[in-house]
Amino acid sequence: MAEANTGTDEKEVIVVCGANTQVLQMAGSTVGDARRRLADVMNIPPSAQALITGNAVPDDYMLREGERLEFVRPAGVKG
Amino acid sequence: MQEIKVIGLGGIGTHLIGPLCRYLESSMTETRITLIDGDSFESGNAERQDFPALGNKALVTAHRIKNLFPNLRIEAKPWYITEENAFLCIKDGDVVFLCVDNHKTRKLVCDRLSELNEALLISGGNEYADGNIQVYVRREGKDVCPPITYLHPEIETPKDRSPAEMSCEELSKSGAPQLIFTNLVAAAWMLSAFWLIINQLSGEVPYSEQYFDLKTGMARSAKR
Repeated sequence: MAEANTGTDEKEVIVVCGANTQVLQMAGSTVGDARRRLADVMNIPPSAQALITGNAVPDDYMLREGERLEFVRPAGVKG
Repeated sequence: MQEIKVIGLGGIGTHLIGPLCRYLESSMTETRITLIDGDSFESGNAERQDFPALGNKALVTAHRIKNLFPNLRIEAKPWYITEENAFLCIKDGDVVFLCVDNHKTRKLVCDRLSELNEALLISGGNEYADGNIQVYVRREGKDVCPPITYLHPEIETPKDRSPAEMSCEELSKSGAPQLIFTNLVAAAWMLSAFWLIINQLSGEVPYSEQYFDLKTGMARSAKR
């Protein structure tokens, strides 16, 4: 009998920057890897602070399955 | 009396003030709205900003709004917020809509609010096609949510200068291109946050930051 599809992937990490969210298979990669890989597609500024569950992490932090990584987008300047 | 201060009557401010006044005019609370801006409307502003005449932004906007909403108390202060006048312009109990175009002023206003017992700050800012709004609430002398400098070192230690510190030549050269629709969305989110917070019976602040992106059509709130 085939196993039911739980709809989850073991290596998935949620990556957020500003208004945009991506769910990617990045568990085992570092925050720095995520920053470099997603810089263009998610418009991540090089200086954006990285948070895991609201806590600051360095770029060599290794991502774990199910974690939520936010690159804090700088506040808009103009108005 | 409810005191509302709108600081900055440029792209975001001019699109925020009309709906705000329309909403307040229909509410039962007596309100005074003070418009604060030291800048002047120029013909080049017309592609993004709503103004019937050239001249100081606070004075011109106040005149326009008074004609549209004669039952509201509207005042204008035709100057920039500075360290010297912030305590005069922003007082205990104020609701402040911060619609400026520099982090120096955002930091100044945030610091002023942190001195107050009761205050609500709603700050908006944008880049060309994306932006964010931030909320800072003070009650009984304590932060209900973090100040707008939290997780935003660019506001905590601003590298830009306030318009009050710039020469006329520098002011005329400043100003990156902006999109009117981005200003409109920022204004709408600021007003939405205002409506949500003042009508929240529990006193809870549902979110302290809201991001939006016109290119992807996405928006995300964050509770810091």
